[in-house]
Amino acid sequence: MRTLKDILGKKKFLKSDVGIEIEAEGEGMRIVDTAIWRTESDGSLRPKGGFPNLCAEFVLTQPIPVATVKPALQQLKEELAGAVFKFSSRCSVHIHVNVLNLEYQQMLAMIYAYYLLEEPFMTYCGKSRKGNNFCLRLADAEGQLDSVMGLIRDGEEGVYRLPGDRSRYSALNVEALGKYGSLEFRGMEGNLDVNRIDIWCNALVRLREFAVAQNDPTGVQKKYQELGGKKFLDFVLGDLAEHFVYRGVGRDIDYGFSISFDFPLMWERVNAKAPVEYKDHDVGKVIAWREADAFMGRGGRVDVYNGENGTYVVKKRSTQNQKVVALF
Amino acid sequence: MLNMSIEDINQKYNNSVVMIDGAAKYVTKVISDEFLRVTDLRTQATEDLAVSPRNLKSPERIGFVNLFNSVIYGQRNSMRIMRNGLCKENVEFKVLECPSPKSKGTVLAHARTLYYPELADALENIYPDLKVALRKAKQHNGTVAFDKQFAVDCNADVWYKIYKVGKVVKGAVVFDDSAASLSCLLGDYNADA
Repeated sequence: MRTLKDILGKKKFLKSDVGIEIEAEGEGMRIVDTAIWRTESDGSLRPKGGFPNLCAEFVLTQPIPVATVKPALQQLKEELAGAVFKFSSRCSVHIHVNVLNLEYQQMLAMIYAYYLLEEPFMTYCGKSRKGNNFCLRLADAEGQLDSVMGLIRDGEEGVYRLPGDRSRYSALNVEALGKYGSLEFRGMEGNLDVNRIDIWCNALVRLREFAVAQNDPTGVQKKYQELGGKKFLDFVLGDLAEHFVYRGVGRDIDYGFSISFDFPLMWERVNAKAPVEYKDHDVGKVIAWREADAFMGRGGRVDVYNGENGTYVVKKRSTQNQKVVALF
Repeated sequence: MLNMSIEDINQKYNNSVVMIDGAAKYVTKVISDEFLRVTDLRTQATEDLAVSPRNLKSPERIGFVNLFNSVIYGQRNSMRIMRNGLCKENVEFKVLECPSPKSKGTVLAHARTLYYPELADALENIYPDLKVALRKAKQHNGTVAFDKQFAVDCNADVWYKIYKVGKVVKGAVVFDDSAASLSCLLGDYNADA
């Protein structure tokens, strides 16, 4: 099976796990320019023109193994000794998790597993992050599901077709896939707490490992249905789960399952067996929505045309595989 | 008090739907950093309300909105718009190919105004139960949602978001084979049937 590295044609940093971006506001900051960290100006931070003393973004110069997150953060903290941080709701910590070594369906499994656990993850990331414009959850902005559903519907080509403005401000930004070969997790509130960020990075890497083990969204769904919410969290995160547990966490994971249900449903439909093969004389035939939907679900290729009264027209067939292309 | 400049409050909340003390309101004017002039979506009454980070929240997901005995599926997109509330720019409505006594264009145009009591029902998660929804759908030759994600039409067909996924048979939802796994989302309804 092809990995995302092959699909995206990327070659670098295959052994590293995470990239980190830390947005900060406060006083007494300075440009950090080391082998590990660089400093950037970020237009969303305040005050405008305050870079670098009053606001700045600190970014890893390149992705690093998750085991080295702690020393890297400690180095940044030492570089910024003397600075007084005032992290506002504009500030956040973004983690990019490298998925280049994952096969396509494993990456989808990781996205789905994240949606199941989004609520406990976001609770860990900070109360102010729920409903925050810069990192909207699936529970806040359901439109992001359309973007990730495109990844299922379009197969590997989906990574090139991600719509530009539907998920960039989601807590999980899939748009980073095409650019960096990573999934970007934007949930964590602004802070420079070494342990907190380290645990977050490790949890996300475990999520990736879990996704690889389950292999696809159906595997993730089965594991959730087998274990139930709280035990599912324990299974995915192991000893890190204790940092994400709170009263009612199981109910929140069940809610995540409910609102992301389209995801495994679409996966199942797209991967159902053997497309129906219409004959030549079926071209032009009017078919019902459900039939057209089932045809698509079994892997048939269709274009869209609004038929009348919920009916659809079989329009033409593919010359290569003799399957009819239904327009509806 | 919101601890923000008036400019920031304007940018984040004006002309958008927010939740204040759990009720859906449309913000028509920012009066100060403590008071907003709002229209209550349910009563359509205008009032000046004191707000703080504790009682002022962004609405959660929209889902099905019952409108004119038809349904439309609303969702917010996570795009680069600074408004915390729902506004015309960050909300999208999906039209279903379902029975509707009004034209789809009429339903869609009204839905986009974000200024009507039925939106309050959706945001406050108020839906009729399956039995009432089916009766109403048949009575008006339309479609009625009985859950944020599920609706039933006058032919007793069941819709999950924009997909037709099954039928109501003897008061219970029977899913098509390809959508059988959805039954776990509807446990209560079928248990009561």
